[in-house]
Formats: sequence, structure tokens, C-alpha cells
Amino acid sequence: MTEQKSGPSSLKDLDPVIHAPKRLAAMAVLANSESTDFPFLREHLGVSDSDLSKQMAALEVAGYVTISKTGRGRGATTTYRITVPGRTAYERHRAALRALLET
Amino acid sequence: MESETHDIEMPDREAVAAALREDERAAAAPWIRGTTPPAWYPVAGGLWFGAWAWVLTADQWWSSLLLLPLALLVGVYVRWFRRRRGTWTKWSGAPREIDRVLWLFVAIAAVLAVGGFVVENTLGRWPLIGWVTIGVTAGLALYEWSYARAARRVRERLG
Repeated sequence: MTEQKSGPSSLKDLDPVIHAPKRLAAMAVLANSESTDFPFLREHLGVSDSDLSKQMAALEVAGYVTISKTGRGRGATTTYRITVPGRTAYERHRAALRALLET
Repeated sequence: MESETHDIEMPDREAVAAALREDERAAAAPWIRGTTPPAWYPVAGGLWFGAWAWVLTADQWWSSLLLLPLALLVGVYVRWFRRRRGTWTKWSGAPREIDRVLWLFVAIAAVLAVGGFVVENTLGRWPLIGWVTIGVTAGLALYEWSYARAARRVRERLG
């Protein structure tokens, strides 16, 4: 008998790191891009520089994104990429949300 | 990797639906947000492909030396546009409206390739170069116009 993914099981699959709305949105952007830079993410999420930095730092600590910084001064860019564990966690979290909606 | 202790409360249906809507909107963002290609891009693309056709069909020993600068030009443009746009989409996972336009791009490329073969074999080298230059310019212009329309439809659907 297959186990239905709903209710408490789906709740268990919700990732506490990605669950925050801005982080989920950030992961969605990164999952659909090869790389994305700081200004693009900030504009899409509608957050301040410091808020975005904090959110992305949390995702980096969890091993879900990598952060690259190139250049110096005004020409410096910060670029984000999703990692393989990050993509797995994001897909699992999204599947859990869908399963919760179907209950 | 074992996840940390869960302290997520059971979200209500509305919160879950809202989260999924926002997820879909964010997933589409790399495809529909960001700077569009510059207006000169179709013409530049046409000229580049025309130059490529000229080099490949030239019967001169030095013409192949031009392949490297042509290839470098593409690298420079892609690097510049990626920085300008702020993101670079993956090859798959486009919203359905955009996916149709990507297939249009493939169809345009196929028509140009087949047409180029026919033109070269029936009319010769210079008509081929003209076909490639004008065809690619028109094809890119059509593709970009279609993409912009599709992006608008995605934005309207997702809000």
C-alpha cells in the first residue's frame, strides 16, 4: 500500500529554511536560472539590500545556494546559484505544499 | 542530510495557495523580468550570421582566420547581455506561453537552414549571404516581438 503524502507527512517535508516566503521566492528564481545577480533578486523580491543579504546568507549556510562576488567598488557584482542539495530541498518543499493543498 | 527539528505550524489552505502562487510567479521571473535585448540586436545578429556565411563560403586561405574574432564577438555579447539582464534562464522549465515561442525560434532556424541550402545550391554564394543576413535579421525581430508578447501574457496570467 503506497503512503499518501498529505497531512503530517507533507508537513514534515516542509523545509524550515525555505518556508519563509522571500526565501521560497528566491529559491524559485534560482531554480529556474543558471545564475542570478543581487539587483535582479532584490527587485523581484521587493526587499532592501540588507534584508536580501540576510535571506541569502541563511540559504548559503544551509548549503542551498552559492554566492560569488566579482569585481570591486561600483563595478562589483554578487551572483547566486542554486546548489544540487538546494534544488532537491526546493523541489521537496514545493511538492509538500502541493500535497497540503490537495488534502 | 537530516533536516532540523520542524517548528513549522500547519499552514492553512489560503497560506499554502498563496505560497504556491508566489512560487510560480518567482519561477517565471527569469523568463519575463529583466532587460530586453537592445533594438540593434536583430540587425547585429543578421550581420554576424551573414559574416559567418561569407567566411565559410569564401575560397581564400585567410578567411578562416576570421572565425575566431567572430566567435569571440558572440562571447563578448553574451557576457555583456548576461550582466545587463541580471539573470540567465535555464534551457528548460519555461512558462507555457514562452515555451511556444522557443519552439518558434527552432522553426525559424530550421526554415533559414533549409532555405540557405536551397539558395546556395540554386543561386550561389552571394544570394546565400543575402538570405542569411536578411533572414536572420527578420527571424530575430519576429522572435523578439513574439517573446515580448508571450512575456506580457505570462505577467497577466500570474499577476
